[in-house]
Amino acid sequence: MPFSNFGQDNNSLFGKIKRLEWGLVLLLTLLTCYGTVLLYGAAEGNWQPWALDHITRFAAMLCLMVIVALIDIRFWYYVAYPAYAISLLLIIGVDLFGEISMGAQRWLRLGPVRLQPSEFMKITIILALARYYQDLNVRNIAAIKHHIIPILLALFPAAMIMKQPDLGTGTVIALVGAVLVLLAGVSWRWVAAAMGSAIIGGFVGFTYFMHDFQRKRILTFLNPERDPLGEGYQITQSKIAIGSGGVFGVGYMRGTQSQLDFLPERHTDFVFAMLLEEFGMIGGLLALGLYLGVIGFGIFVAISSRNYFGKLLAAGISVLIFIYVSINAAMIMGLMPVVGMPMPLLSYGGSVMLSIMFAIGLVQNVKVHRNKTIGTNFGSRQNVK
Amino acid sequence: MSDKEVLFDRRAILLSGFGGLAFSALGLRMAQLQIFQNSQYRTEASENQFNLVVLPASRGPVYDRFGIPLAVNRRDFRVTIIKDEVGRRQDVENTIDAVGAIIGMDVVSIAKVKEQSKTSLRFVPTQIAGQLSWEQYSKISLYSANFVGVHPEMGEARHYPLGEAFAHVIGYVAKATSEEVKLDPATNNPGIRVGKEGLEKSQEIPLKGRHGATKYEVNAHGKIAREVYDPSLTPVPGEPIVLTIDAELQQLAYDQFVGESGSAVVMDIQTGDILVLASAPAFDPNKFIDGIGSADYSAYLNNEYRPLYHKAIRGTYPPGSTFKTIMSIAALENQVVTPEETVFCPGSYRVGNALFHCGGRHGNIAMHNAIKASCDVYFYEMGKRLGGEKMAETARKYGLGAAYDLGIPGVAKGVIPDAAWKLNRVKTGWEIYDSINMVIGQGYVAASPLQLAVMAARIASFGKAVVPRLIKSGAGAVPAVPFANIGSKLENLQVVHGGMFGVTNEGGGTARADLGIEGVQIAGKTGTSQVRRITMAERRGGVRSNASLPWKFRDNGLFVCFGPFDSPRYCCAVVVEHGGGGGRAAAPRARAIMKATLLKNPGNMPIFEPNRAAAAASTDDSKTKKAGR
Repeated sequence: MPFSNFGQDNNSLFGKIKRLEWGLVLLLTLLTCYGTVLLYGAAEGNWQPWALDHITRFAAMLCLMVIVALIDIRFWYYVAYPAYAISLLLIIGVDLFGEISMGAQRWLRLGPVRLQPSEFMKITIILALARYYQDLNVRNIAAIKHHIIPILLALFPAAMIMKQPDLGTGTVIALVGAVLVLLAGVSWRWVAAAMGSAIIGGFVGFTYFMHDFQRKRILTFLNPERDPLGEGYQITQSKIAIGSGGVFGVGYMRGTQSQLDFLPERHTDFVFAMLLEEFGMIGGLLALGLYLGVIGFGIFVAISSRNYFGKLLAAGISVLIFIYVSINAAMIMGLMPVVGMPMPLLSYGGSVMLSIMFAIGLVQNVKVHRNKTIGTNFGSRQNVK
Repeated sequence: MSDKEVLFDRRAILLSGFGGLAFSALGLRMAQLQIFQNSQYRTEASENQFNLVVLPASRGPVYDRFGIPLAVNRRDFRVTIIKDEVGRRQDVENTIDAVGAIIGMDVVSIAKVKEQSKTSLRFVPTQIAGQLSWEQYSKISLYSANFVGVHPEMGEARHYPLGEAFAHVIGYVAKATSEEVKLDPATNNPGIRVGKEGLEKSQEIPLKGRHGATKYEVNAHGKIAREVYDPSLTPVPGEPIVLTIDAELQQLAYDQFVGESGSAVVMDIQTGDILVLASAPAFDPNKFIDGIGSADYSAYLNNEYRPLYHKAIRGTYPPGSTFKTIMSIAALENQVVTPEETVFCPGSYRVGNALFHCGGRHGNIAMHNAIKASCDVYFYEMGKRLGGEKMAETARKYGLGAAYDLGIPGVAKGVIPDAAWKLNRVKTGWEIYDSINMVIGQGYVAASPLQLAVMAARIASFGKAVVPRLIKSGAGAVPAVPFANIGSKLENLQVVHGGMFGVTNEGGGTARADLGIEGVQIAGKTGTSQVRRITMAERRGGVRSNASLPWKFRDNGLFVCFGPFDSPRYCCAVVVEHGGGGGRAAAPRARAIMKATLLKNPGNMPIFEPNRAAAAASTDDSKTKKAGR
């Protein structure tokens, strides 16, 4: 019984390992195997260059996940602010010294290592906000004044990242921050106000601050036939691939759209379109079901955690994964403009897999330490009425 | 639990609900694309996937009756450019310049290709140069890797080995016009030509076969991933066609007209096979295949001798005295005269206050000599006795005034006038003068050399309704059927035969000459038709000789004949435009053609039967194959 015996946790290493959520591990493994199968097919039936990398990386990341999970939760609580600060400095560093690749400044080279600081920020923003709200002990949590700092904590890096320009990651960080503020209890009036200003801000940003290619992407999304062989090409080809798949798919490695290069980026951002072409709606619903399981575990862990830091941490990461999956799926099915957003564990890419597995490590950590009390306000439950 | 924890749990569950809704929306979108729009996207996917490259079908060859090739396909090396692959306009021009330099094109043709490339379609290959030598082709194949969008191609090009002699019969092929492309988009391919004249035009559909295509699976960059075999796209070669013509005789006949404008038709009277259908001068059909230069074309167009005009079937002429042969039959059949009855010829014939002249003063003359000496007065009298309707009736029975379906375009109908025709066309009634003019093949009467040959064939065959045939086998061939009897009496025809024998063999005949084959004679009839009006004033001062007249006012010379006289087998009609008298201009040429025909006797030789499978695979490489036999 995974969620029983509250307050009686054995904090020995063995006890912690026993408390790891192995069902979640199973789901992750299934998704990664699914991804490996797709990448094997994307390379026309070769383990190189993607499939073998993908599955080996996963094995390594699984160890990382366990390590992240077993470290005392208070460690993550203490490093939350420093980690956030470092990510922020790196993002500023990218702005100043970053390497330009594919038209965007996203990478920072430190010796032999290339870092993508925006990837760290996705997790450190969750840690930082979780710590902030753990520390916050006020009567009226709905008041906006208590939420100004977390909003700024999220918006500042989000704006910096969007400026790189990486609209996708910037939006993810802003969205994750917004959902955490909402979960922490800001009043609905302010939620409504924020949504209103986001729409207005979006228009202003679209008109004055966006890069041409971003504006084009949105215009193209609104009308893909505007430029069917240019910017609209990806959306159009992806929709053709998905639509031609039908209910049962055209068959493994038989997707003409994918195999003949009509589908762009079929091993990364558009891997789900290839899945839908080759395995059809059945295969797509299976993948979505697996993701739903991962996210559901995260929410369950959040609700059952007995410390607030853990609750927000697990919830924030579930939101992160949800955003990844839904934005990617919506994008490839033509419901959203094209933004650089991979499908977790299906898409090829080390950086993304690292951050996803690290994040799920944190969810496991919350599960393992669900009964731990945290931080400076021991016994805070008694103090707050 | 603290308040904020309770609040968190509540909002977490609420948001999970939202998340669930969002996932359902994704599922619905999947269903929309994959179930409801599945067929639409499947079509789009397959359109994405395949690219068809037109594969021209091998055009059907044309042979003469003994298998001598008249229209063949020869291997053609050419180099094309696809503008879309090159990109910018300037790059296209630079590429054409570079290719032109490699294969050694002259500046004018390079400029012409550049001009063409401006208007050609982006995705369709534009030909830079055709008919490359092996050396040029090797060079461009070697260098083409350096140029994007340049494609050396090996295909087939039409070739007419005998050129001018068959220009009018076979016609020619050339690039499709934009209207023709609209009808069949495949014709846009630079390797495809469409028939424009003659047999190539009228038998375009069987000759062209069915163009096929190679189906390529292409990737998003247009690169060929693999070839897809689709049997329905295999090109079907065009049908071979065998003509009734004997290429050797045709060439011989054509060569008779050096420096003259005329035509000759030879027929086998037993089968109706046209052995010769020559029209001179002619054009070189090979010049038209890749587009004729404007200087060459205007030279053809402005030539007084009209080389582009198929005179043998399209040209109609007053038959002149050759018409007297069937007028004799008309007179005998209608019993307005007996063979023995004489008419007095004083050199002219008065009707009312009009005077009709004769070529000589023949005195008392009966039918045999009237034909032999071509006495006009005798026939004026016959015309007066017969009247228009009866003459027209016999003329039609003997094949005039009707168009024949030879399977090539432009066969003229000619004119055999009668009262109804005149009322309709000239708006006046039939007069005695019309009968007088008509009986000597002048006035409104007009017949093509082909019709004159048919007339001769029907006389020679003792009244069989011989119908001409041009296509022996293959598309458009007409099955041979026994000819019906016209219904003329044998003894009447014997009188006419005798008169025609006299023309060529007896003293006083208008075309007396030895054929040069021991024991073989031909029988014929000359004709000289005026193309101008001779005024009374001129007649008083003496009729001007043809030599003193400008070419186009000179008389047309005609001659019809058949042979061997004892058992007629072949007939021949020759018209020399503005060549002067029939005896001098037409008869010697006809005699030479008949002599060759009689010596060869092609009607008794076995007929060529094309091997269809071999014909489809063969490409004739020899450029200058001659009809040597």
